[in-house]
Amino acid sequence: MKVKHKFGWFIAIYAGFTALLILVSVFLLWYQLTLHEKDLFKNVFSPYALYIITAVVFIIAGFGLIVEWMFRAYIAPIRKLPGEVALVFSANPSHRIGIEGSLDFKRLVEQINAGAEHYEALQKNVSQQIDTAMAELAKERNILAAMMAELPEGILICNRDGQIILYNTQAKRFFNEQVVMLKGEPGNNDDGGGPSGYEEKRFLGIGRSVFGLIDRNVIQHALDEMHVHLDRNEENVASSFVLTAKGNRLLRGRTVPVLTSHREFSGFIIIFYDITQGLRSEARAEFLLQSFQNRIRHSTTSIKSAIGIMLEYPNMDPSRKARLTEIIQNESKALGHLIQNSAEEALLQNKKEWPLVPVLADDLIEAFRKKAMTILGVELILEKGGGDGRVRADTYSMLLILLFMLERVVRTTDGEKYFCGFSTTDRFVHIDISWEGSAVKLGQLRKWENQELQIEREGLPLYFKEVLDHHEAEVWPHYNRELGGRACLRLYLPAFKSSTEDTNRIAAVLPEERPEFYNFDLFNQPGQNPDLDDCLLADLPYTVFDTETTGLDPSGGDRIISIAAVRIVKLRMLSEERFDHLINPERDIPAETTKIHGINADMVRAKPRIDRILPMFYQFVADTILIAHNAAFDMRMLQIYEEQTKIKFSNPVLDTLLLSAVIHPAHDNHNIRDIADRLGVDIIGRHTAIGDATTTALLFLKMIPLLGNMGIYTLKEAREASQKTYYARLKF
Amino acid sequence: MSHQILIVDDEPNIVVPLQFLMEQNGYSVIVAQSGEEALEAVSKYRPALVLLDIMLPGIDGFEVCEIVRLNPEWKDIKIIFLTAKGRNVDIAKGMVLGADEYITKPFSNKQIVDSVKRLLEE
Repeated sequence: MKVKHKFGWFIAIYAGFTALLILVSVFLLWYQLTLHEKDLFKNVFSPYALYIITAVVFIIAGFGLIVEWMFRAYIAPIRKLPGEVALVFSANPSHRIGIEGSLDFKRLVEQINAGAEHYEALQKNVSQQIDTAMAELAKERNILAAMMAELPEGILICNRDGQIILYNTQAKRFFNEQVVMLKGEPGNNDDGGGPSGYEEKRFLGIGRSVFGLIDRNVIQHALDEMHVHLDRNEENVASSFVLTAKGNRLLRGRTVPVLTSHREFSGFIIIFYDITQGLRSEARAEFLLQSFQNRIRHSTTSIKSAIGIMLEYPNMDPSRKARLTEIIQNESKALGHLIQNSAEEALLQNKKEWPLVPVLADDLIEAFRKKAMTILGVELILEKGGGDGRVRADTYSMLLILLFMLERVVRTTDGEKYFCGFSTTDRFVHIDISWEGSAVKLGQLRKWENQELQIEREGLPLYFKEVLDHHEAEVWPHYNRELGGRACLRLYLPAFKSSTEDTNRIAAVLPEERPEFYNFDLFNQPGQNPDLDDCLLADLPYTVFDTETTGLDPSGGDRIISIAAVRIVKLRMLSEERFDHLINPERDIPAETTKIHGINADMVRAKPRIDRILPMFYQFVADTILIAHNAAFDMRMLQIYEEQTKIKFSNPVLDTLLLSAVIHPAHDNHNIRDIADRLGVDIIGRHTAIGDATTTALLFLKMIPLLGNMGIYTLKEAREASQKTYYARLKF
Repeated sequence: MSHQILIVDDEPNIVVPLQFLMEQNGYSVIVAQSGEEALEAVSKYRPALVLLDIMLPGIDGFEVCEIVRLNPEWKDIKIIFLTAKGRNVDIAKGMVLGADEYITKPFSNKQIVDSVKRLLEE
């Protein structure tokens, strides 16, 4: 019952009881009087009855006004005060008490607000010092995180119970939102259900179990093997396995333990290597070898057999002889093709190990000019006008080729000025080094071929010819009238015309804020299956979600059109791990609700239906506590789809509306905006599912310490306190 | 009456010399280019010997061999694998399936003629 109502009832009962006493007294007095006295009384008061009644009404009204004033001036403000004071000294130090009341009460509030100013200033000072120290730590941590993120291997670090406490970008690419086919029906843990299967999307995230991501048997086997190695005190304690990941990637996983200083097992690291390409190459090479062998065997058999017959039966029928000759010719030709194709294929295979990237000839010769100056001290004059030449090259080794040539030219010829330019044809980009002086002879070029690519202090342990061959390039003396009689060496590089971009790695960017890929506090998680009710609120993983709907009447046919969620693990909102989907409700969206959430029929027409989204959401919220504002409504909405999707959400639920009523029972308003104002939280994207879910998550994080102030620490305590509030009785 | 030999191979350039060789040695020859054709020919002509390639379109040579050996009526038919599959494991597999001989390509004409004669004289 609200305080105002409670006070009203108290006064009403008090006034009623007083009135009853007065009436009883008057009644008793009346019976004591004689008839004469009664007449006398009537005669005296009858003419003034109206005045007397009016006076009584005024007295009652005056009494009511005084009571109302007392309530507003003393009772209501005092009831609100503890909550407001707790707010200032816990969740929102910037909050100032603005409760109206009597003069005495206002003085009290002024004193408290002055104390709050002082407290806020002190807290800011301490916070600044902490922030400075934390910034230094964060910088180092972020460098480490950025490095982790850019590793080509996927990395998962888990605590001893298999909860993920760190993952990097590559692991996210390998596993996040991986779709697997399972037997049975969604929401039913029994995999051995009927013959019908369903798709399940698996999410990678901090605090989630690795066993929900990768087949439990595989990981368990690796862990068992690792423990055996540890027990034997072996040096190599790693255990390896192979598994498939998103996009049919084949990964090799390598599990290594994380030990405490006392060699106690505290978790494990799994490193994933993408072996798809390697295996494909190996398989391709094996296939090529097999085909090559088979083809050779076939052809030689035919040739050998045909020749043998022709020798053994020289007088055979001429038509048969012609047929055998044809076989020999065809098979010889096939062998020739086979050898040529296999050689090209093998060359292509080798190139994958030494990748060439597309580069503009312009950029290449500009880099060459700079290096010629810094390394050789030679001023190269660039001749422009080569067009849009593009080649595939390993730029460093190609630059060494050019520098190698220039250095030898300078050393062996009597040139004075040196020029560089390029021209393009359909098939080649020609890079010319020219000079006014004697030409380089072919014999000299041949000598260079077997020399190592060494110039001054730079070089590679590769031969000149080897690098040219890898680029399918050639160097040749060139004579061109356009060069005005200059001597020239021309480098022929195959022109590159493909428009497809190579998959280059993007530069690692140090994040300004802590990347939310890890949370080392999870090492101290009490257990994989703890008794949730007795768990501290601060230790539990949460999914904070919100739905936008076609209306407010689930039973009357209103449906979800948007669902979004964010996760909270160890009191940190993981905004990286979010769920945000529009849903086709397969019905109209009333214009009045579109005004609220901004979603119209056009926006959801091409979106998936609820039976596609809800199974994903079910996976996303697995093993977490659900949080929503006015959760009864959202849960009712989810429940509507139970029969259709066979998905039942059995996660424990907390409601920020009820928790707010627990924390601030004296306040009448517990909508998101009012709570956000009270707790000093900025509202993000109000009335979008993801915006409301994010704001609700921030509110919930602010509420946890306030609940602690009230002695509410565990999930059970929070739920029981919620159930006692007035709002818990609202139904949808 | 001359023995009938079934040559099963999808490579005409191998079949032509083999056919000529067998005919020159007094055998009559039937040719099949796939596993299915081979089984049809076995059923229809009951040849004395099958020269069987392994890599065939459709049913492969191993399977043809298995089907022939599982039929008691065809137990007397000799089978020689003539194949480019030269790995030890392939040879072992062929022998386990009941082949009488396993000859890897490239083979000599003499080798093949000798094997056929030996098996048919047994």
